[in-house]
Amino acid sequence: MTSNNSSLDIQLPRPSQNYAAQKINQLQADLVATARTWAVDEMGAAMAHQLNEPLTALLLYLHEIKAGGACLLDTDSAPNSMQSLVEMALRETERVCEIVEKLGQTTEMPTGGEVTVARGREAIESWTQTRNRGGYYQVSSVPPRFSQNILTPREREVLALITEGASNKVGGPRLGISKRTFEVHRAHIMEKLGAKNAADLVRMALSETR
Amino acid sequence: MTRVLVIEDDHSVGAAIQMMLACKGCETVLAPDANAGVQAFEASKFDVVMVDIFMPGIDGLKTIKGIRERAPSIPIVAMSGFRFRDSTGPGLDILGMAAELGAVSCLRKPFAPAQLIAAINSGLDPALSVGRSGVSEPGPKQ
Repeated sequence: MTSNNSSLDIQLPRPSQNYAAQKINQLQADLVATARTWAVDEMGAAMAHQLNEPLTALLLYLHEIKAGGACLLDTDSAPNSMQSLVEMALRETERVCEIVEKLGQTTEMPTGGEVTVARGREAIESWTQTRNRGGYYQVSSVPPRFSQNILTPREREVLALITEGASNKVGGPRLGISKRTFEVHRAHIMEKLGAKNAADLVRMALSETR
Repeated sequence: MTRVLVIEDDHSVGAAIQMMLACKGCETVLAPDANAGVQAFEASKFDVVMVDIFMPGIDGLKTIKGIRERAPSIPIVAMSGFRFRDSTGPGLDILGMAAELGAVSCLRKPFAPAQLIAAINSGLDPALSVGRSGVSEPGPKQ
């Protein structure tokens, strides 16, 4: 039996420096792999977008060819022969082939892919700003002096949450945005600041706030 | 005759839609970007507007918002071939965002003629619906 005033001193084994170093290395490797996955995903989406444009036109033309082009022959405002319909379908097929050819020659995005990604980002940024004008959870952002001319106000808010250790799942709802949107912001911030991984990002943010 | 405004930066897609809709007796006006689209919308009367989401300059979401402010009841069809996705789950629902802004229907590219017509008809008064028996179909060539 012990008295009420006594305290129990429990000694837990401290992790060795080696263990901690291994753990950090593993986490950093995981973060690098995740960043690479984001980059590949974004590139894939841009490629799909490039292909979907000519495929849309091609699909419409081919359906009309399959239908015999009868409708076209009866309208004044449309091409007036099956020949021109086939030529248009051929042109779109060649467009698809050009994109695929470029994919085979380079690991970079097809021409215009960067623009597509930028458009997507702008639209999402615009959307999230619109949605968060009222009623949503507000968080303090990383001070504006941190990369003020590089990050948008929303990205600074996301960065503030990242430095707090918020995951995408937790950070998204706190800003009133989806987990995916939060991820997109995170990817943009890393790209803009040249951070190789999340640890790098946090280090940069903390060094600025000191 | 049903009048459709198509705001689409890819000319080939716009031209193919115009061809299909001409077959269904619609008059289609093409606009290559948001500014041209809004100008065309203000200059003339349309029954339905189709808007591509990812365009240079002003994107489709802003365009939908702008048109919705000018004409709260005009049917708007959003279309996009872009999808944010990653290896860990579903991507951002861009077309869902468009629907929240007031698009009556959303088309994911590539789409077939039947999907195009269904999307347009989903917001139209049945009297104006395209591709149905005797309504808005082109008459015999003179």
